[in-house]
Amino acid sequence: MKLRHILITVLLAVLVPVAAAAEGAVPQRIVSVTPSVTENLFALGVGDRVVGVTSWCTYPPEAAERAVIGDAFNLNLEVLLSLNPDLVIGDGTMVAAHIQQLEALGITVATINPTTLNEVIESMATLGELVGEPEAGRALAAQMRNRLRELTARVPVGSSKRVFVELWYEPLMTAGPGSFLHELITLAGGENIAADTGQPWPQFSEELVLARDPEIVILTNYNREEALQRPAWQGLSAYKAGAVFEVNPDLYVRGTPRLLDGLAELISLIHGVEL
Amino acid sequence: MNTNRGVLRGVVLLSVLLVSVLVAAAVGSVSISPLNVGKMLLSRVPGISVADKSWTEAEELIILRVRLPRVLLAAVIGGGLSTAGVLFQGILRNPLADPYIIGVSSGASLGAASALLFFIPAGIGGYGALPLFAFAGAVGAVFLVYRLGLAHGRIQATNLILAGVAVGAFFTAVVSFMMVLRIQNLQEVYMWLMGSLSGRGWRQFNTAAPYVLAGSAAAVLFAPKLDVYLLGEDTAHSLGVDVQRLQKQVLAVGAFIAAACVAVSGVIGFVGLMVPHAVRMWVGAKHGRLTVYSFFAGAIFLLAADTLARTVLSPIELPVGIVTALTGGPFFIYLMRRG
Repeated sequence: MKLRHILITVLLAVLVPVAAAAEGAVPQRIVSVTPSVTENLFALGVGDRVVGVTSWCTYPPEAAERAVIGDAFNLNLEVLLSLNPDLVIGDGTMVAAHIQQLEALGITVATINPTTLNEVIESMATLGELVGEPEAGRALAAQMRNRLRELTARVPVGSSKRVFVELWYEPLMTAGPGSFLHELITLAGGENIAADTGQPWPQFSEELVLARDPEIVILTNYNREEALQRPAWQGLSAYKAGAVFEVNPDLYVRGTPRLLDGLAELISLIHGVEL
Repeated sequence: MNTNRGVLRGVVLLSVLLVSVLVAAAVGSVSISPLNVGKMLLSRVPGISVADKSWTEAEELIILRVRLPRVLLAAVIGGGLSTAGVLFQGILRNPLADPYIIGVSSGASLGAASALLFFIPAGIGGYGALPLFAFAGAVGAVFLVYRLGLAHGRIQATNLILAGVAVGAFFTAVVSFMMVLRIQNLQEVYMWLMGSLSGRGWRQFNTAAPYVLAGSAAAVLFAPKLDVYLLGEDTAHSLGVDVQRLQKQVLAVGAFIAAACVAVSGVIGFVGLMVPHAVRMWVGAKHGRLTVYSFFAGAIFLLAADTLARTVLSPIELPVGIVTALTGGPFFIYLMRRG
């Protein structure tokens, strides 16, 4: 018994400082300045180390319990500093003035800016390393890769449908190449009728919508009731087939694991596949 | 008004400004005891040492690196815009003149937008060069408006104002066009165009303050000539004022102050239009007093507005331009109705 006690004591004496030292290098007070980063930090299981978020960070619901350090446009530097963060993480939409100001104040700032689904998957590993959870990051990335493979396997071969996504009606805005939405439509076996705009968030001609006759219309602004009233749109294939759908934009514009929920939803909306 | 009252008013304005700076430095999203704020500031005065350091590192960062420079910058910008407003209203003899009337804001917007949307993403100049781009745009636009506004080699106020409106509309359209082309970087341009002091620190203060202060000092020197100029160009000429030269100098100094302000803060409206009018109702139209008092009144006004902007909806900040128009508009109408 004595020997065991001694052994345990020795082990503890050796291991505890090692663990503590490793923990010293790991950020303990993380501030996220982007909704997608907040989601991903929680998905990696380090939500308890997130001390500050933006007012737009609505997912997961626990995120709303953290201190609010501003919105996507404006950071409140005072509140941010008062949280004593050891790491601030944002994406490319973080206003450059803020990054510079934070670095000038001696705060470590990291930016993660994935622009494609694959980059989102890779960014989980990067984020995991940043917050000292490389294993969790790699595991999440692998899990996402598997799910992506499973989902794309369900897309019927050789069936492609014309899809129009409406982000906003006045003015008419849609998603083009460079946006996750465009990529997801393509992956889901859809053909984005705004593919030739060459821009992620172009303003789009209503005439072209009518001319290109989408078979599926996706609305991200919870305006299905209004959209169905539009006289000029009644002749669209999508309208005749009753294929006008409302979706939750958060699943399609944030670079998070939930993009795959969006992909699943698109596949079932476009092809009528039960997933 | 006799000299004593003038001096008294000057002392009152200066004291109110100093107190405003201290109060503004003591309030914010993060509550820090005013006593500690006072001690912190004192500890930075050479020769004074504060024995018990009863505040945290974060609090010191917040006060000395975030709040104080922003408070001082608000005062300088507010003072500068108001002084520029006095100069433009005087030299153009137009009550609707403001610091942006001859193209400063649209030029600065074009400079800043092209930097944010094209140059900086392409690696030409870093983010720190943004004020330079804005300043260059402002000066370029003013020069263009000035050339277009010349009639037979002479400055003509109406022509100048019309040229300012035309160039302003054109540049604004160019900015909108660029924003449509580069919608993914829209957010920063949008924030810049709204005008804000959020996130500004010592670097911006050090960039703008010397120019604004020097320009405002020069503005005071124009005062006697501007008083004569208000009597009419012919009268001024017969009293020995070189009218053409005065016009050029005043326009240049006014545009210079406004450009320095806009370069670091974006377009903050209303201050430069309203403050000179309000001060004129208070102290009269003589330019010496008008210029000095407008500087202080503008400084206090923008400082108060920015303090509201950063505290009312805390932790969310309001763009300060919303606050200046929301509070200044009704106040100005009240002054006008009272006559």
